[in-house]
Amino acid sequence: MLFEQPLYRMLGDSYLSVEFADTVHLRENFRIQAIARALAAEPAQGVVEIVPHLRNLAVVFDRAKTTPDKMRDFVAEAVEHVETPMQVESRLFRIPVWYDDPWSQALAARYDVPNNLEFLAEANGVSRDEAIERHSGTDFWIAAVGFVPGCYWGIPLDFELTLSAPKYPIPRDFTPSRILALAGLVTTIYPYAGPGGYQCIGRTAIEMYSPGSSNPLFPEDGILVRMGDRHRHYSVDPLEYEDIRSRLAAGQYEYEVSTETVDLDDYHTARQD
Amino acid sequence: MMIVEKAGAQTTVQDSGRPGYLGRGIPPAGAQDNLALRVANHLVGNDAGQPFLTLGDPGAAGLECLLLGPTLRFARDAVIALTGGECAAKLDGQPLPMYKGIQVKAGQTLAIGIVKTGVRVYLAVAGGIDVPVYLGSRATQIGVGLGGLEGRTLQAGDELTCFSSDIRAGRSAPEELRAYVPAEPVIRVVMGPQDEMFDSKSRAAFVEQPWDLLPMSNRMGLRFTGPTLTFEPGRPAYLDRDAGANPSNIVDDIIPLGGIQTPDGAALIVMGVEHPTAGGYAKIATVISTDLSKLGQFRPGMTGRFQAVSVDEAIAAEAEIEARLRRWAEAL
Repeated sequence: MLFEQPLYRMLGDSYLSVEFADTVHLRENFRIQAIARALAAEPAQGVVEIVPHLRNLAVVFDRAKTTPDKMRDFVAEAVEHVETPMQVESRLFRIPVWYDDPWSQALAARYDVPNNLEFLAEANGVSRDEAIERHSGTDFWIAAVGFVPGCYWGIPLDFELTLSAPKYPIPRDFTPSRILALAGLVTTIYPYAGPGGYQCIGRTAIEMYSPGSSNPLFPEDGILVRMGDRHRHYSVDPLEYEDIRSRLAAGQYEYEVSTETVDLDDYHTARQD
Repeated sequence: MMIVEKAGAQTTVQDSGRPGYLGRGIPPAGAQDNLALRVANHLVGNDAGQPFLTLGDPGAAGLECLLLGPTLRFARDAVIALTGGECAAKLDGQPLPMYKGIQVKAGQTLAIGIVKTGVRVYLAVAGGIDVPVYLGSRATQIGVGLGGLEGRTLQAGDELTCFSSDIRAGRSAPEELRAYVPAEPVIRVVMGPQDEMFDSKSRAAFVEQPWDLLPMSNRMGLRFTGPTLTFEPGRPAYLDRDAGANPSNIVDDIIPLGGIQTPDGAALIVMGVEHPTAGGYAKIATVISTDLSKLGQFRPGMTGRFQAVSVDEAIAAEAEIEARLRRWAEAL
């Protein structure tokens, strides 16, 4: 649900949050990202960081250099005046995925849950192959980055192709790196091995997190993804997967990325609430 | 240079942390007892670093030593200081006082040993430890393997070089700036962001009942067990689909440093310096900046209480301790 008025709250003594909804709304996320860009372009004194997220944004501030009241004025000014853009510049990454890969299958066996892709298909009333077609048939909007370095929240831009599934009943203590995973409406890729609770439906052949990489697509923090990017997944077979892995290792793989203007009206973004 | 003879239980290179990357999923890391490391740095004449999540140089890097400290041999003369929890550190077998700047001669061996009260001892070395700066800081984020010495805890055989310094030993710190490790600690919080999701009985229990710290606690989060917290009825049905069926689930939002998550209402997890930057559980309250340092000395099995304060009180508490630290440091 969208809030009638944005909700301002202090998180402890160092963060002022402004919250726009209690659920995910694509247009509202476009608005949050636009407000965050405006705030970051002209930060008030004492601002440590502007942190945009799915449905809220926060300003982290230095208590010795400013006050919560000043931060509220700083944020409210942008909230009131920044228009939600209908068109934005956005990078589109094409991401090769081995759907229903053996690592995801092994995880399902190890944690004693059904094959995750089949579970997802069944939960959405489609066949296994239709689930792959739907998942690879829409661009995903990167609505937020975080949780751990390099993780992110990808939301389908075509809501008619939405697949959703609950998280694992008990979170895993281990997920291999590069696993493509889904829970609720959100798709992500685990940037490196670690715990997790999303349904594991594939594995990408490319690196999403590569600190120290000489590839200019990776900034100093080693994180490929940025808020406002789009991802389009495409299915590869085991041979193509291995081919990309070896080209990547040899420094001969080029990431498939293009930048273009995204028009919100081109997508079926209306939410079926 | 220091040579690591015994690594200790979990010894890491830390400064006051790496703010500014929460939007990339990177928590600040740095010393969990921020005040103790900053006092140690002042004792050896180093740039001390900053309070949690503030602007400015994160200061000289020292060592954070958890529960069992390392044994280090010094290849050169150095001035050092130990702060934080109490330990029985020895220099070539002779007991060393804490909260004092101490002269070490080349060839001497420092054994920090077991941390007896609190859980973390900080070692500052005049000049500071020379490891690469990553995203503005030398702090180690252990969980991901970022920063510090190759992103990891120290191992026997590691060699740590230090920047030079001409400081003399002999500084000492007053009682009021020493680590906080009382028998029945009180942690101050600002309620929210999701306190209104809990029923009134649970909101009251949160601040009235004691909470025990569990062993599954680390720099990512401190887990407490206590009364079971329950939620206000009448949650909208669409949140079952969008956030998850458990009443403690919310659609993911920003998790602040010190935020207190309550998965299933069954336990509290207070977010430490390596916390996840966002997540999907209700947060009943947020620990105030000043008391995040105290949490860095909480020992599993310890019983603590939470006390609700206003944002103004939280900011005033930090201003007071910062003024004390500044008065002392300026007089050195």
